[in-house]
Amino acid sequence: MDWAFLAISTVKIIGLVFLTILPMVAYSVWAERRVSAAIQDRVGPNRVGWAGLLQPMADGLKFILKEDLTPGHVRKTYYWMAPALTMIPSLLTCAVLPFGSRLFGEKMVIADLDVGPLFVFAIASLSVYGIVLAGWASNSKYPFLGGVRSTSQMISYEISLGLSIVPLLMIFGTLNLGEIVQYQAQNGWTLLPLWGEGLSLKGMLLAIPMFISFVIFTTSIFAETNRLPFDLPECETELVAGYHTEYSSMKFALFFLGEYAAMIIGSGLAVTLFLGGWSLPFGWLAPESTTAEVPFWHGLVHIGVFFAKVIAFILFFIWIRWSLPRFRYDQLMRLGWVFFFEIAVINVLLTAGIMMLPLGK
Amino acid sequence: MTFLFYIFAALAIVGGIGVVLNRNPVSSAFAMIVSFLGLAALYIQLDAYLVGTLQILVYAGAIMVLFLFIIMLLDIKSEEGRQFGVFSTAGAVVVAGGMLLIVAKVLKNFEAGEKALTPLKGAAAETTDVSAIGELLFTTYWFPVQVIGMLLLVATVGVVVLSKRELR
Amino acid sequence: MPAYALEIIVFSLGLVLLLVDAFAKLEDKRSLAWLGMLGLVVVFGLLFKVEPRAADDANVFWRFYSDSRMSLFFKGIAILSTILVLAMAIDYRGLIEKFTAPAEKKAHPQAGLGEFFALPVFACAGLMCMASATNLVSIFVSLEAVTITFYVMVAYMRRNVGSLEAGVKYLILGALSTGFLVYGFAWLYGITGSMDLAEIGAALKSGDVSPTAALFAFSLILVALGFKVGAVPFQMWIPDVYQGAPTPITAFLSVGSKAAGFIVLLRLSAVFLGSEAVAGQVAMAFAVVAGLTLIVGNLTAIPQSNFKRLLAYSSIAHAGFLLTALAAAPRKLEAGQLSSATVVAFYLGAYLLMTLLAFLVVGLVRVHRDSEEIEAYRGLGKSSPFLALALLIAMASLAGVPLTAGFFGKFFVFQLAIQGGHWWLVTLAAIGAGAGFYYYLKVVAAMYWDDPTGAAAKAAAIPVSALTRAAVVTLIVLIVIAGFAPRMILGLIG
Repeated sequence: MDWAFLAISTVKIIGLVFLTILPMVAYSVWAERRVSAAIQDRVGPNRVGWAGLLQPMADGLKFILKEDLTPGHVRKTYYWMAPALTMIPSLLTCAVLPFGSRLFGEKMVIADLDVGPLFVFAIASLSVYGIVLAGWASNSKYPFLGGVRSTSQMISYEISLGLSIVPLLMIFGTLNLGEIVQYQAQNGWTLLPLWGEGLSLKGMLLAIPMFISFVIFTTSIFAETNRLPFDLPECETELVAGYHTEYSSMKFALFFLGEYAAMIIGSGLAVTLFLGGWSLPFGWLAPESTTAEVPFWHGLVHIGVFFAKVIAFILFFIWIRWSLPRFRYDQLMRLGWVFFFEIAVINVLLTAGIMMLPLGK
Repeated sequence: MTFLFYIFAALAIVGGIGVVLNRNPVSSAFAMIVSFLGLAALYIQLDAYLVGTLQILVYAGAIMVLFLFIIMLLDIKSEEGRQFGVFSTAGAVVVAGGMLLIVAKVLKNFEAGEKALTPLKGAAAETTDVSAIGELLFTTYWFPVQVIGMLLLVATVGVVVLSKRELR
Repeated sequence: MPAYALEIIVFSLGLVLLLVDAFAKLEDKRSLAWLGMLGLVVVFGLLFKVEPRAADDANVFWRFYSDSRMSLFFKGIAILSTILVLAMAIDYRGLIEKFTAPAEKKAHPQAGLGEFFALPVFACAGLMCMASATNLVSIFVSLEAVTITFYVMVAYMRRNVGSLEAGVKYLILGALSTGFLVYGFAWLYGITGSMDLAEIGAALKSGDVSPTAALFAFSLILVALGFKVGAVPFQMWIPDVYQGAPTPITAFLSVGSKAAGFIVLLRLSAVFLGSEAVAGQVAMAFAVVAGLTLIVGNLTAIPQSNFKRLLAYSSIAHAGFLLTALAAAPRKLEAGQLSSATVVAFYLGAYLLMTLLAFLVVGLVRVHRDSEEIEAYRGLGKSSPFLALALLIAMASLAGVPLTAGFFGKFFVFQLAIQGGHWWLVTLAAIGAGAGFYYYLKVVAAMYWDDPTGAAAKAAAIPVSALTRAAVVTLIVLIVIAGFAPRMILGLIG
């Protein structure tokens, strides 16, 4: 535990979280507005800067300058804590995401844990506290209903989320996200097993349960991040703005940003688990192993590939939001408990069955 | 990194005290979460990543959410104004103090705590803790795991039976 | 057939019951109980077909499991009591339906009944696992499996406030005692470095282990198991829980849960009593708890007017006698002397018979007279002589009248205590037994000599189904056999 390690970690944290994820959060809001405008055949914000690119700055400035109103009827301590509690877990989870192979001989991940996906789920499960507290501390009806809805929704979908990646872990045989990506770089992405060991009958068969996993995983991520079509905790037509109805100014902005941060991390996890993380298709530029030397420009390309995939996935998120109508609450619960939960369990058995087949490697 | 141990141990203990002293159930629940997070950090310091992560995932992330959920749904008001009698307070102090004394005495006479842990041998030393624990659960310890499976089934059946919807 | 096949069969039987209940759309769910009883009778028969562990059987499973005669005997107790509990549950179903049936018009009136017949079977599987557990891990998981099943069953009549209150009390105190148990186990593992009882025993014997820490672990475990078996001062939950729970479950709780607690206590106390350094203090702790339990259990039973509560206090009193047997455990077994484990096993077997017999009658009276007060039993000798006779025999056996199973149970305990020279325990036990005569025979007096008052005066005879009649007759016969020829049962224990 020497100073060099601390210094490198600090650089990684600042570089990833503050210089990459936070700007991405701001710009995904802009992207959301632009894409939704395009989908609805509108123009969208295009005044501030070229193509509206400075719009996030203007929005941020506006949030800071607005009056920070604390209503009289709220429970003060928890009311102030809640926005921070939504934002922090979302940012913490990116600690285990491998956003590149190696650069200057350093692994491009903040914490190379052996329990990667579990860590993400553990921290992400804490983000519900922010919402539930916001709902409760606001001490009025709509936020409370939003908080309750959000809690039950997140608890319900956490189960299918966790179960959906079990088949993957069975195939990879590790919970280290870095090794998972390395495996995919050499043996085919989870959803695209077209090279390495993936290019075999068994690999092709395994792609079926993997696809089911992917569908469940992505849908659950939508539900976990409270995005449309599952945005019932804040659905405007029923609950004004749900759990953050009573919030204004920067505290409101924190909720808003926390939601987008969670979306980015969710995309990052989906990309890492299903779409090969930082690796290029067909094993191009793939390093020999997790410990092998990686040329400088390969490392740069890997980082670029990772963020390109994440951005593509975020666009997918936005596209879904503006294409699908909202679910009804009972439909949402039914989908989670009656369909996804069972399908995820069966999927585990299916994967185990395929892995047992005597088809060689 | 001993100072990290002290920070997280203090966090766990302060959380624990907070659970007892807070009159507001929501604050108590939060103190408990803080305590769990401190504990999880201690596990991780011992290189038990899986146990630490599960501590957060299961206790802080699932069980306490349900606790909080129920507390909020029932809208339990804080227990202010409820006074305990002299006898019950004295009894509680005596029991707690006695327990503290006994533990202190035992720890004073007990040397094993100062011994270093023996390192793991064989295959367990070479793999990560996740695969080591997984392997043990599904080989050596399969019998207890099966019994726990039955326990969970019964608990699920029980929950369904006891909480069936009542029509008004 | 190896011993563990029995647990697997019982567990599968529970699953079958659940699945049949869910998918078969039964008109009358009593057939589930019949199916369960039938299966358990078969398993009881298989108990005599168990083959000992093969010499070359190196399954890791045996680390957690023993198939000694003693554990087979306790498995038998578990199966027998579950069969009888299911038989009682059939008679008791009316009340269960009343408090669980869904309010919808179209719903099946027995919609809440199926699980009530399936849960005891799971509890039985847990009890059987516990009877064989030889490792802290397997002890803990099977104990919890049983306890959690009991939490559900105690609170089963969910529209009855008493049942819910009993469930909550049991849950909270049970969880507390589990905390103590795990903390004790953690210390035991910490000081000996093993979870296996044999290895722990060896480590304690070797003298490398700090006796203070070992005693601390023991006291934590004693507190926890004191809760489970109802030893004073950890008995406060028993009366309320016994009174609130559905009667068949109360019977199961007083027999199954107590037997389970005592198996664990027997196994763990053998480990501690084997070590010279701590044996004296451990025996002393048992003696103190046993003395307290005898006095408190017996004396508080005297003023009770509710029969179910009376049986609850009687269950505490019997725990006192059982603990006396543990406290008086001989260090060195002489030829012809009974070990305290044998005495405890015999006592539990006898206790099973008489308690279940008493609860069978309590359940019937509750269903047909809608009361559990002793007053409701007035005149039972005239209106239902068969049930009155059954209750007479149960009470006589519980009190320890000669020629009943209960007599020899108490006799062996006294013998053990006298041989060990624990005179003050013998005195307390004698006082307790004397008090027992008073409060058990109070019920008998009410049945035969007191004139019925109020509604009970006009009450007709209580109808007894053929199944109940068979169960009652079997229990009476077994009580009398054990009262005449205790050696037969001792032979089973080995």
